[in-house]
Amino acid sequence: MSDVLVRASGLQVRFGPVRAVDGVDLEVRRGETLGLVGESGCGKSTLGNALLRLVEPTDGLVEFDGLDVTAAGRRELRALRRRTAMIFQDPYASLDPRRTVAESIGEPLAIHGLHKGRAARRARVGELMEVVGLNPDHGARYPHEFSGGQRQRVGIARALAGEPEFVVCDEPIASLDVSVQAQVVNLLVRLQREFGLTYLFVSHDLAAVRQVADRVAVMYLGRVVELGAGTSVSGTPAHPYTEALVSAVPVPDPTRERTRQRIVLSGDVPSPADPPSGCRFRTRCPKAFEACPDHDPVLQPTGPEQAAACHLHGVTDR
Amino acid sequence: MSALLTVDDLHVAFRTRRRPARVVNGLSFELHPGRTLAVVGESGSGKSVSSLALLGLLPGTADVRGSATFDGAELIGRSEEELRRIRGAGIGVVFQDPMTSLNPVLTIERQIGEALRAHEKVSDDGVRSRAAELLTEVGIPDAAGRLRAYPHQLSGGMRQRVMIAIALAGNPKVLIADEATTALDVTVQAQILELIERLQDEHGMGVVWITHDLGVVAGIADHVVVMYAGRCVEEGAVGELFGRPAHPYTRGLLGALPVVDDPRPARERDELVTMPGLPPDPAALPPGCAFHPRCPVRADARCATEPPQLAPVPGSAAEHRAATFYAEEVAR
Repeated sequence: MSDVLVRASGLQVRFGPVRAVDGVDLEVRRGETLGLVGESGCGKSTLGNALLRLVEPTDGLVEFDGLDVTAAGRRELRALRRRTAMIFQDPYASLDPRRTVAESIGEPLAIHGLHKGRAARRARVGELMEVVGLNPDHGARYPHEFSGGQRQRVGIARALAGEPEFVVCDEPIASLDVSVQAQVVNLLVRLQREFGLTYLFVSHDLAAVRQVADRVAVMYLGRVVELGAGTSVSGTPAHPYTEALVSAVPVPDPTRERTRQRIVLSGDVPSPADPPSGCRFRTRCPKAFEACPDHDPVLQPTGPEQAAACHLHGVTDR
Repeated sequence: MSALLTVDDLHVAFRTRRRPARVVNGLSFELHPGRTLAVVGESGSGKSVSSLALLGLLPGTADVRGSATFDGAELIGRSEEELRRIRGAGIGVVFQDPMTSLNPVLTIERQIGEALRAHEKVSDDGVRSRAAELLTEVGIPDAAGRLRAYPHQLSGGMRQRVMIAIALAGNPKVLIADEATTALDVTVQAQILELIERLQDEHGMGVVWITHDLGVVAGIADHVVVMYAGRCVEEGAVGELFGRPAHPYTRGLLGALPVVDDPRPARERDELVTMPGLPPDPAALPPGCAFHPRCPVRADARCATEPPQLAPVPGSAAEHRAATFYAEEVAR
């Protein structure tokens, strides 16, 4: 059994002229949490969706457990879908408001023909609700009767219903209050350990990503610009963008926060429909030099368990 | 030094078909020139409603009691006309979402111009040059060109800079930033924080920073007010409040935050601190201490019946106060 569960090679997703994901190579290892961090519009959610083929890649390859996801037909795709799941940012938008939460949680069971029979299904739904910390007696309630955090638990129960191996968590805590975020983060970590899940944890919040992810991939304008162990990426960032990102995340400690070196980037993120030549970060990079406009850097090792796409570590070209 | 803005025992209740929703329940604070006061809380804590109340921006279903004085003038109960004058010349406001605060069909010049004309008579040329100056001041390159732009042609960060330029148009003494960086990416947030800090230094404004983000607070605030269920549950100088939080809610909030510069790998970290349950419904506040049903520290008979008042935290400076019976035990 290979220790890589999901692999993307040369993955590209375009929406018209917009290059949302533009040539990504990435592996998710069995049992790990890979954090995917980046700012709005960098393509992180699209990448997560493309790994599950919820959006069609325009080029490149996605493999799940050795199977070619990009070439899978309907039947294969359905089998793959049972082994994967997605947790969304806004459970209110992803749950059907006219269905009871038990119906929503039980739907994947019906689709995949699991726990057949009314009693068996009801028992399984109750079990799932309990696993995520909901009162199983509340199955007959509707989404609007729950708080945001509870709705996210419903979304998690639904995602777990088919006993998936790989779960893409797409900004799962972004719309929750701090005290509720902590509850959901702890729950996701506990579930992973209990069920041996593999996570792709997509978030704009590097502090949250560091709390859950073994390895972290940093995206900028459709590309992975740095990849490595969470400790290295935030502790000794190798890409100037990562460095700026880490320094911009506020730390809830006045002494540390006021003495930390903050790197304030100038300007805005360029349009993904018209990325800069060479390195895409060069227009905002405080360390850009002559090589940057002419050569498009590839990810290259910068240390054990760390790689960055930056000419500071030797000029490369794609 | 006398306070620029003084809020004293502010109450806001919204009339509903059922019981009134008591959203702010006796809030007091003072803001001094050149200082930054952070008001922190989660959704529904009353932090934004308090600022809307003192700006007179709440709908007619809101009952506002108490006092808020700006430069000695009472704000509560003023007519719309009087408030508009005070707000424009004395208090600038920046809200969370610049896209909904800006008018999508007017150019940036028109919108800054409106703010300028509200305070003084200025010629069209005067408006143009002053608006361009303001855009330059908030760090927008090619200001003259950007005057003709519409909001959708600008990025989120640029739109927030325009909002700040509009807030500065009347040379305010107080700037209220209500979740002003919440919708922005962190690298853009860093730009805006730096900008407001610079403007504050240059103009000596007092800033009220309303936010849920304790990381931002740690970086910019002098004094912090933590709100829960419409009350201040703890306040103090930023160092003391973060260093030895005395209210179980403050301690819980701080423990709930993952920290980016914690050197441990994810698998070696402790679970985040959680507080069970949810903030209370403002139409059905629990008796006694509003936090007692969720309190991980202590919740005894006294907590359930007697609302604790803000009192000095033993061992801290006098301005560090917490509304709990167990400050000493929590602050340790």
